[in-house]
Amino acid sequence: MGTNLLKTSLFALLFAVLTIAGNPAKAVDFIIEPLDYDVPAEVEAAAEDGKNLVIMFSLNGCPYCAKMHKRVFPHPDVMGQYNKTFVMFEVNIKGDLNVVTHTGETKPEKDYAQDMRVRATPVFVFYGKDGNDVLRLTGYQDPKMFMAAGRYVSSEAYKDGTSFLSFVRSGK
Amino acid sequence: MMKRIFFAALTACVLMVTDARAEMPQTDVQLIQQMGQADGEKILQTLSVFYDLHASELEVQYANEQLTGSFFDVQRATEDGASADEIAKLQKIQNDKRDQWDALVKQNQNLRKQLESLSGVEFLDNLMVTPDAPMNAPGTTVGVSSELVKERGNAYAEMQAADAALAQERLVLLDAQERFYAGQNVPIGDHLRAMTAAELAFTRAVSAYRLLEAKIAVATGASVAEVLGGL
Repeated sequence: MGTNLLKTSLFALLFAVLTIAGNPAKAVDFIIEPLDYDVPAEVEAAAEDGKNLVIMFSLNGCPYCAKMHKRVFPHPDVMGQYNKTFVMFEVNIKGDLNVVTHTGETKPEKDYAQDMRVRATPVFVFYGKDGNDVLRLTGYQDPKMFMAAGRYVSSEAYKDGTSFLSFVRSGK
Repeated sequence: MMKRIFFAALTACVLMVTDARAEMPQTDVQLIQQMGQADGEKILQTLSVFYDLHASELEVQYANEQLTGSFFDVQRATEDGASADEIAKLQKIQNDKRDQWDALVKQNQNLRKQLESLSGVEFLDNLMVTPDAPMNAPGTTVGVSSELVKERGNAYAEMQAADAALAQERLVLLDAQERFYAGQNVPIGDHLRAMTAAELAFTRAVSAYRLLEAKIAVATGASVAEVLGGL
């Protein structure tokens, strides 16, 4: 009887330890490092989990990319939303790594960035679950704006022609 | 044997809970809670430095943005074939911006040390969660000087103005970003820096207001954590 109680307590303690240690809200889980930078495959994998893909076009030394990493991605409210509904990876706009683009072509990162008309960094491209890019944002997005972008894409508000600016102005 | 495992697990659990609780505080309420039984004056002194560090994080960011902007100005002038004098002037500006950034980084590190020594908490990461604007206007308070109450009223008005300016800047920036992406000639760097400046102004204003609320809480013997948590 005493041993059983001890065992139960032990498992309860271990459960508590694992719960605290594995608190998912404390990690920036939505940022991934894909093996092959295959956009259609990542869109599909994300959609299977009910998520959307975002690509961040960035550049080393860009202060606004650093600001996103320091102040936005680890923000508790942003993590709470994006960990549940998005997967994101970065593409270096001067990089030579091959990317399979959302249209299925294979080309270096820098060429993909050019195709996507990246003139300043960061640029965020949000993809719908069907693989089409549905929102592009240039430059720093503060936590409120980045979360609004997430809601705009997740709710598919773009489907009825609502622009992101109107969506934000309506306070949604 | 079972007892030993039990106590080992208990120790591990306590250590992990302690570790989880010792996570760097991002908000004033979390900081006060981690300070334990500190007296009112110590809490006020610590909060003042904590808010300064919040502002300092953005000052460093703003200085970095200006430094980057000045670097591109030199690059553009060189590409456009500007005169040696013109380029030298721009290089001087760039060097000044670098010096300003250096000084702000040092100031940031000093604030971090000062805060660690006051609070007993390590501040290894960046502070990123700007203190919250209060949901309601300040109510009536008895037992504090009219001067402090007046100061709080002014701070509240300034905080509201900074909050409105930040909300407006957010929309202006979004509009500029959309036009820039559409290929229009938009000074996007200026807009991005203006956004950081608005964030900084709001952080300073909301911090000033929260510090006054904390002072009033201490003066009236209320719990500072409860007062700030209830704003």
